[in-house]
Amino acid sequence: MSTTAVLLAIGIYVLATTGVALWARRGSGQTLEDYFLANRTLGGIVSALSYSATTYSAFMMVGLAGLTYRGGIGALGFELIYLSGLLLVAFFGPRFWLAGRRYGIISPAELLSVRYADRRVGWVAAVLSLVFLVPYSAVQLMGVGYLLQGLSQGAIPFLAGVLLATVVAIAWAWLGGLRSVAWTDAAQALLMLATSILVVVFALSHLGGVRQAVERLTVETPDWLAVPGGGNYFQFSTFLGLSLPWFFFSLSNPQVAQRLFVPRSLSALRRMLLGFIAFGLIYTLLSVSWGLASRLLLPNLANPDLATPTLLASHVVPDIVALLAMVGITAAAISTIDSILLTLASLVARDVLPLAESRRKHGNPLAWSRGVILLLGVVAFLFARLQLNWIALLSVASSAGLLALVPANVGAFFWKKGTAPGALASLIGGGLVSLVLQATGWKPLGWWPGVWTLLVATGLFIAVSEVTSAPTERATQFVDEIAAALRPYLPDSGHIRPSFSPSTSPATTMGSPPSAASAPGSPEASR
Amino acid sequence: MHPVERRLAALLGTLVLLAYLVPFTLLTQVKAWYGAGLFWVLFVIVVAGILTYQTKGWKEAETPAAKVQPQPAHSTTVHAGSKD
Repeated sequence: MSTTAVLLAIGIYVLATTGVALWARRGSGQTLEDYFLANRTLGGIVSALSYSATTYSAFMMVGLAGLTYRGGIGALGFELIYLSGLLLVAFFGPRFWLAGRRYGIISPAELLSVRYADRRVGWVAAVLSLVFLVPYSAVQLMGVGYLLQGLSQGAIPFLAGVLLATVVAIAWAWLGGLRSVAWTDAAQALLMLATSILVVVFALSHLGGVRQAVERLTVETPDWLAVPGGGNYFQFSTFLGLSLPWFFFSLSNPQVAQRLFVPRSLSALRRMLLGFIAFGLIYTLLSVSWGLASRLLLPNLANPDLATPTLLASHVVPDIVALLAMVGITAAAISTIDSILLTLASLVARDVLPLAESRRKHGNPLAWSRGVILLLGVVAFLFARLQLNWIALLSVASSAGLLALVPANVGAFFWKKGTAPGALASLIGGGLVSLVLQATGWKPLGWWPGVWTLLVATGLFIAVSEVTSAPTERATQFVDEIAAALRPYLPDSGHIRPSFSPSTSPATTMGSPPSAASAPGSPEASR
Repeated sequence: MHPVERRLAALLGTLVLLAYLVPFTLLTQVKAWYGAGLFWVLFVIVVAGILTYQTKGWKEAETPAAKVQPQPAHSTTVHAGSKD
């Protein structure tokens, strides 16, 4: 693939998407809510596409394809079990959405501070997210660097690719906050989907069509069509260890949990949820098909992780299609990085530094937030440049480590006895267990770090909460009020659905002050 | 959790459990396109169908975002280290 073609393709991609970012920022306000949440006004389709682009990184067409190459169809199961984890959004999505409006919450960590009536909970949750997600962003940047270096045969040096991805991600997040990020994400999601369809079609054509490809798989690599799969890679403990952290992804990862605050209505939230599942199923099937096709076309690769770059560099797909695929994979990586940078900046602005309350002391919080985006981007770039072992370790540990956030989030809405000390113990204990197990490579009883992180975090949350005092008034208000407001929207609940406006029914309006009428079970609560 | 949600949670939880168990027990020897791969695809489609049902009431909440007067996130009841 010629260097000129690679540079031209990347140039067009960057310019076109930056145009989208500039267009999207029009009409943006000067508040943190506008900057980080697009003023809670995004429509369902844009939300779904943005959620997809944020969730799916370069891992899909590179890592998942490699995993399929290595172990077979178990990779499909792992990824689809992750996708089924979106069922959590059906329970937690409207609760986040309602709580966000009721309390003016901007970040997922802030939700924990509010519910547990203790800012230290949000602070620890934010720091935990930073510890795992900044290195994760760095590794995504490195992925772009290696991809461009490999496909241009070294004409684009690793560091130049990393720098390009960093500058672009910072610029889009900086320009218009979530408005720019969401719309560029939406454009990139469509690009990711279109380019992956294209390469898979070419790969399958090369194999003589779908029927021929399936027949060859059945005859040549039958083990790849069942579990534990090729080389017995997907043993049950491995499968569980890989899939469990991702099942809880929608709750544990702040860059997607924050999106639950964003849709302009519950209807838009529904479109986001169902739209993402449709996108995810198609994109997953494409990535796994690509991996299985690689297995047939390049059966003797020493390193399965190189399946995608090797296949793109071969002449199985035309150069122009390989070039488009490269742009699609780059888009997948950058659309994830800019969303993470924006969310981490909101965590710093809202939870780590008490900006909102010290506005007079520190000036414009929006300017501070932009400064934080720049700082985090530079740190991620430096991490990517250094390529230290511990950065890769933290990145790998991120999916398991962020599981420590799950029990506190579940307890926030479903367990009034959950306390701030319980949440703190759960976050710190779970995070530490994840780090220690990942660093030492120890798998007690053969179970992966994610399993132990979830068990320890849940155990600590329950045990410590049982022996400490809950913020009863806040917990009751928070849990009951949101449950009552949600009730009319449940299927076959038998309630009359109210207009979601503060001027109609105070009992079902999140903006109205708590009152006896909003107590669960009272008839008023349902009107 | 409302009883309706509880029932749906039990149903979905059972499906997820089956998504782990069936391919590793009943389908380990089915080395064909209609084995574990098809099972997982159908599993996700069934989950999506249940979620479509579960969220159908949200369709009727198509009013614009409520112009609420949010309570301060860190109102007087929120203090560092406070325990009510």
